[in-house]
Amino acid sequence: MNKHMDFFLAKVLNQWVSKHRPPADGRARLLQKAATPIRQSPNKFALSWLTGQEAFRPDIFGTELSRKLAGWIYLPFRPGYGNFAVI
Amino acid sequence: MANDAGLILQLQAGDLEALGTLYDRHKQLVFRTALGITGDADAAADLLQDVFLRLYRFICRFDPQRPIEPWLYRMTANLAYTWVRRHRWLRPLEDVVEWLAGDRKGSPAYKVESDEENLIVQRAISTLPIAQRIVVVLYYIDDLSLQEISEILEVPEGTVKSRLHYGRQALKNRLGLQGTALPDILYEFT
Repeated sequence: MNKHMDFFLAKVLNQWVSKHRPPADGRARLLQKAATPIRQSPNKFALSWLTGQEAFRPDIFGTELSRKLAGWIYLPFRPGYGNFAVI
Repeated sequence: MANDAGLILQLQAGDLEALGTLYDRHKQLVFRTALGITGDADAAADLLQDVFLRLYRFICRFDPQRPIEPWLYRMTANLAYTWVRRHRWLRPLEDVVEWLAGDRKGSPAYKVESDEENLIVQRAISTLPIAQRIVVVLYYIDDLSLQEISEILEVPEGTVKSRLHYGRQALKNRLGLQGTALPDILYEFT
């Protein structure tokens, strides 16, 4: 019984996903994004300015939590204070 | 044409065209998996971009001798999991916004989704708990074995088997296939 059920579910699910296609311009978009250098985050910019270093080492603030903490600490010093979308 | 290992080496050397070739080669795998887990074609398209961008960003850590598919499956499942967790409370709100906007009805995506059969399958899948949904998608849509799934998700094979069992039962219930409701399918596959 499970075999028939497996056949059926595989068929129904594959029919469903086959009705959608990946976007036609996906490759071009991907290559464009990959070619664009990663923008330095405002947190790292603020840290490099405050610490006097030209380029703040990104590895130190590599984790999600430390990035968030840095974002909260330096939030009031940013020109766009209150814009939470930049965190 | 170069194999995946050759393309990874080219990409590690900074050849972006190799990324394009890898994308063309594996986009269906990633897109179908992401679509199965999220149930949303737009989200699947975004995840497709994210997966290959991550491949590009972390390519220096990639071992060319190892196959790329398990990494792609794992990354797709992880990103789709995050997407589902973020959007589970937004889904009803998005439906209301779409209904208010009312401009989606002419789009091809809406026509596909509005197909009754698709809608039933999509709803049945989306009601599964995320852990079961990922296993069901990898097993039925990607046609992977239990062992492959356990390696990709890094969970014991018994756990995969149990998730698949409960997922299958739940799908049976939601698709109304309890008892002897499979005559057409039995004819077709026997």
